[in-house]
Amino acid sequence: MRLFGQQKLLNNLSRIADDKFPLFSIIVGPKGSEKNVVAVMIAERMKDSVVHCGISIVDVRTTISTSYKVKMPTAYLFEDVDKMSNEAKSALLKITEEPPNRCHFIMTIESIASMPATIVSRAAVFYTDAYTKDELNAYAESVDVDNVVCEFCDTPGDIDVFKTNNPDDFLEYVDLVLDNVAQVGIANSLKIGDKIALKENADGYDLRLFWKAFMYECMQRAEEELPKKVAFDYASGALLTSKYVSELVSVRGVNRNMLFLDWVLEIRREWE
Amino acid sequence: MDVGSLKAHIKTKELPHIMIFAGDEWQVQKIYIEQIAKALQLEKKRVDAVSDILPALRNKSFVKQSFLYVIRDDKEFVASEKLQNYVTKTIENTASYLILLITKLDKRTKFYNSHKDMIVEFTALPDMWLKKYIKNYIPDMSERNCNTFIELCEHDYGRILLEIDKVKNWHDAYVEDKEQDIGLQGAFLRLVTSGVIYRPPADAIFDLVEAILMRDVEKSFALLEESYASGEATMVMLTVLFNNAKAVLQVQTCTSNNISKSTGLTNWQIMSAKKVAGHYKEAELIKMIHKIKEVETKIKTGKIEDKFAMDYLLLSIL
Repeated sequence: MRLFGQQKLLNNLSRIADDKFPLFSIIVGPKGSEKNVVAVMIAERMKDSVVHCGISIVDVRTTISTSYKVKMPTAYLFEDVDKMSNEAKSALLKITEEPPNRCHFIMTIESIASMPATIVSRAAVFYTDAYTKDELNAYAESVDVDNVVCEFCDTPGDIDVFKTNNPDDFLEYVDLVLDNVAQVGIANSLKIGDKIALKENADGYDLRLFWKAFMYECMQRAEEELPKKVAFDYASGALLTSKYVSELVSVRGVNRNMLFLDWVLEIRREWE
Repeated sequence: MDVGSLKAHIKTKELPHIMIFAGDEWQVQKIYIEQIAKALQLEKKRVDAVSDILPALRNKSFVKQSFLYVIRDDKEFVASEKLQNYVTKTIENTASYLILLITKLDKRTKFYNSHKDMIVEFTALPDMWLKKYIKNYIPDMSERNCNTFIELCEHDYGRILLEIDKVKNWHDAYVEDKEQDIGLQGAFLRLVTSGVIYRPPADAIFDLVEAILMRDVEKSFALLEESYASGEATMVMLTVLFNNAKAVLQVQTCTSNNISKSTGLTNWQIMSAKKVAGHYKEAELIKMIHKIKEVETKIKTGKIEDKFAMDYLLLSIL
């Protein structure tokens, strides 16, 4: 298992003695930041048997009741628990209060805000490192993707998603939207979302990556156009888009269709 | 276990000590419970929870009485594997039987998976049988009115029986009062027209969205009440309103002759949007879309209560 970054996190983790490693820990990091790989590495370091657990309420309850009966050291991994229901999170409180001795519970999550404070206060929380340009370039090279992608991808996971979204067409589409979103009629502009994956598992460009590429392109143009007024329009477009990216990540169950349409209308209003 | 196997068990009187009945047809379940009580020669006893019968089951006295216990929706029993195992083990050593009735069976749960063989699902009876039952009570009922009756009662046998009872009582009172016999079918038609036979609020959500987009304030709030009464979720209302508002905005602002090609909407969507277009200006439609999105986010982040959200939205946009 190879990591392309996270050296600082791994160094911090290695400073904790095996017998003092917290029984309940949360690893926080954006999508594609290899946090699940780190979780498995922790489990392997503890020489625990690794169990990948589901996040439904039934799975959580089954895991809890099993953990009190196992005799061998086991690490229970709950991956990407942002989508875990509130009932399942409440059920987890039991193990945070009285964790069984031979077990480690490791959760990975994108946003700590989606975890109840009662669980966070009982866990050791570790944050993934931000990737350096060099690390991202190294990953992009290893998967044969143009280095420009590192300007708006924050993690190796983002680069993987970008690669699956026909990269040349994707960048062309970002430019097309940027040039035309405020120029065409409303009816036409509302069709922009047709090429974006606005539902889970739908075909289309990844929404978060699209917006990040859009922001990057806005800032590039802003720099090129300085000191003209239009430079500030591009910068305000990037700022506006960043609020939507933030909402996309932080609001659980966000309606992407509504969010995207709202963004289209706001960008038009901003650039009118 | 299916209904056919249950019938066979009743005939042979070899029934499992615990049976689980699920599904909407409560009247049919009631009939089977009566049949089982008769076959086992046991008195039926309805209790609230399985834990209430444990002392009786544990009682080893020779003179204790056995019952056919009937319990509806015992959540504690369904959630506790320990209790399920204990009750199963205990009741098998007695002459008592337990029928657990479950109103809404979740097939994703561990309970369903581990008790599949004990569960008998009473799904809706086929229309053919329902017509037969209706004609048993109202012999002159036409085929068309039978279909209407079944639709009004949402294919629920229990409700059909209740409404037939209503028709019969009304008919008898009418005949006594007016000294004129309009027949049971006539009575049924009169009751449907006057709203005495309850008509379920079908498609209230689409009528609501139409009323909002046509800026009919009174009708919007009335249909909102009806939508809540029929159990429609706020999120569904918001999504349907959003999609329709977007379509209206596209249709209203489209300058091309080929609206479908320009907007990507289907002909049916364009027709529906044109029906309600023109009551809001472009800026007002944009404001509506922003507001819907704002309310949706606020519900998900806990900043607004679900039950007030639609009222707040309607007050903002109408």
